[in-house]
Amino acid sequence: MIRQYFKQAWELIRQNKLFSIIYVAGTALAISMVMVIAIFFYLKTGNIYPELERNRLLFVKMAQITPKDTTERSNASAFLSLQTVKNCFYNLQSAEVATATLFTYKENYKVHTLGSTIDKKVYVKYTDANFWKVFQFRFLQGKPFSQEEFDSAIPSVVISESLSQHLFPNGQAIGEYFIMNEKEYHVNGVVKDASYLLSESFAHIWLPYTLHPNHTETFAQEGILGFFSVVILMKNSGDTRRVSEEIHTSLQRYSSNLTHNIDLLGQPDNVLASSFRMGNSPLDINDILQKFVFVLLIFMLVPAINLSGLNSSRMEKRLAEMGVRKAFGAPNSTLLNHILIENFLLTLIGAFVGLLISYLLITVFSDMLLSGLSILSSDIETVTGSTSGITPGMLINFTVFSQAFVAALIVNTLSAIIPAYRFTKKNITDSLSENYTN
Amino acid sequence: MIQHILKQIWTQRRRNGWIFSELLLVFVLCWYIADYAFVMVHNRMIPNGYDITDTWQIVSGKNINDSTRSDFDRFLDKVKRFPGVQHIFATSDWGVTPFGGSYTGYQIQRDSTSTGYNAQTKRIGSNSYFDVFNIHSINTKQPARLFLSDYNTVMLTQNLAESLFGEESPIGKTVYFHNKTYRVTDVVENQKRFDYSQPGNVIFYPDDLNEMSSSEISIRTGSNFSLEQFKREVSSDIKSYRAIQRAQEFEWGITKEVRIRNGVMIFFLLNIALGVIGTFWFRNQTRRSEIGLRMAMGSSHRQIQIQYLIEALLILTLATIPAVFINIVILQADLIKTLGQEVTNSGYITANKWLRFLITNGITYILLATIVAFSAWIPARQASKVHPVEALRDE
Repeated sequence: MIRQYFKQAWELIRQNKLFSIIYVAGTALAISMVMVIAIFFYLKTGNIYPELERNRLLFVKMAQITPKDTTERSNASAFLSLQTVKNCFYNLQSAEVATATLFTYKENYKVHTLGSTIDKKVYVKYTDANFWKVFQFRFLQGKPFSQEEFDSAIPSVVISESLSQHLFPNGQAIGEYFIMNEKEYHVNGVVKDASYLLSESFAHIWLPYTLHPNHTETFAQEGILGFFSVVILMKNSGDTRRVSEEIHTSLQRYSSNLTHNIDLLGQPDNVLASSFRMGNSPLDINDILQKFVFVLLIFMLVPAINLSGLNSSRMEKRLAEMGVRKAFGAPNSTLLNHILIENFLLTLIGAFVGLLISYLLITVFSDMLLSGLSILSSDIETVTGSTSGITPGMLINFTVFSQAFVAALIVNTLSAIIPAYRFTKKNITDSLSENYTN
Repeated sequence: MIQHILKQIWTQRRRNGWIFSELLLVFVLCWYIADYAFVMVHNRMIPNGYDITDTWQIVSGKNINDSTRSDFDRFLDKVKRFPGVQHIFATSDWGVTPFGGSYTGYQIQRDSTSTGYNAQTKRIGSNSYFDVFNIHSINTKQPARLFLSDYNTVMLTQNLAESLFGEESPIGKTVYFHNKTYRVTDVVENQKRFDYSQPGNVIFYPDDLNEMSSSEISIRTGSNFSLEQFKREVSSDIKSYRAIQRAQEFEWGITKEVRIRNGVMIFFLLNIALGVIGTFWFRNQTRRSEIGLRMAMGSSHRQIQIQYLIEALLILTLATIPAVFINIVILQADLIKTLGQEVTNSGYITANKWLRFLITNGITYILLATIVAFSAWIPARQASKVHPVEALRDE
């Protein structure tokens, strides 16, 4: 039965080329916008290399301090100091491990090999040995720098595959040296390239923050704030509350003999909330999500109205056919199902086209997904290297496809249900009458 | 003619219902975007209070402590002596120069008991700052000058001066912030923190800390300045403030917001175009006989086309009426959260609620009318090509 529906649907498409084109275009518009949003969220939350355990991650990027003496009205906010990280985050019991990354504001890094003078600008990340436990990098050569190397501030670093190919084209990079900003470093490990769209883990070179001269610097009073942001790997994805409580207790204890209160402004964030946090602006993730849902509805509703109108006009032509079928005893539900399924074929074609358009839009405008990194790096070009950062795996995966399919179903139902219902309910004699006008 | 068409629209209201409701919905949504665009364009047109043409920033990235201080001073000197450099200003406070990422602010009052106003505070170590960025005093019309030798003096921007002192001249009077009292020495032009925002309150005061822990050097150059030569001889880490502005807007998501709104607007307009083309094309088929009749009775091709256009525009206008009512409800419910809303100085159009409403709705109507007219014209042309005999044969 369904096969016959599809055969009939295909014939109808061929016979009404104009209508089909407009219908497919309308559906494609709807699906493309919906999928742009869906892919956008997938990039923020999906388990994508090298952040394969994103659902177990918590982020603390900043803190705000206010004087305990409430007559003094001021506040300061910034990243965390090393002291704060050591006292409240490194020793978390309820989580598996925590890593701290140093914030380097617009510092320029250039590398070249010992023999050459040609510089290449790179984006570097100063982090610790725990970093490699929080993120799941694939080591093509060598291994990460160890806790001992980190503690002793040994210039032993990890570089990305593409940088390794640039610096050491003959393949072997382990143990090799290179110069960066007039200091010498040697390669301990080479990892598969990470995408710059995942800003928490991305870099071209990862090195121990103990090598950076300012890592013990603090900002504002009492050494609470500084230049570190923290990523915590929980033991289970449901541990958020427990870990959060332990963090707040720790901070309370830490600030008990200081003159300022420490406020995390709602952190620790999960990966979705963290991607929306901008500095010390208040973050209401529910509000943001509500807005997105509203936008999604609009993106589906407006084209659905369009498509409903088109369907309405088309159905008028088939009124006679429906009249005959009803006269022969077909129940309304059968007719309704038939229309919905027929419609679905067109919707699927539109959804496919829409999905392709969304891929195009995401790839072309991928620089808009950059916001986190663009603040840190001295310029965008160094980070992007003129690539789009989108890997095929980000676009072609089960999550994205299933969401596109569901979107197609919704658009199909929205656009066909009202006209189909109205027309199948029509009187048999009215349907069969030639003079029937709407 | 209009009455006749209106009657036709009414008889076919079922069929017109879809395109009507779509136009209504899209009008409301497009108005929301048009309002944002209006505020944005309006804000960008307000003078910045500083001038970033021919200005550059050099970030050495190195940290300055006692041992490297002499190196830094030498570097500074090298920059100063480079041909084309007119003024030079160095600071380690990233909130002071335009588009800096940091912000320090306090509540400013006339004394510790009166009303306070939030203001951004900029600690300035050298008057060359005002030369580099061309920040003028309201009174002298020349680059402003701080009394650097007296740490208890400040300069206010015009808007802050008006908030605190009203019509009186603030010069010589005192203000109070951060637990200290300061004397006002001058009033400067309003400063916009970002190109797309309205000016906020700013206070300039002499740098009493005199730390120099990192360096951000800003220069103003003349026509004989060669960027390439500077990069080769002095430092390659030089950027124009125009580039910094663009980067900052990108980082702060403004570029993204504008692009998204443009994209959404295009999305809605495409939908409308498709909807109108689709609807009117079907009319070609169902109304063939009517068109044939009209042409047989003497209607020209042009008149058929015009009829289509008028019908389409009339449906739009009819949809606009309830749409405007919905917009009024949205406006009154304060659901409009566009840029610059927080710092609404009553001197700007954007603060005049109803004028702004009128202008933005007008823009939306014109935009939609253009799309609708264009989309209806295509099937209209097709319709007018109908041969009366062919059409009437169907009857």
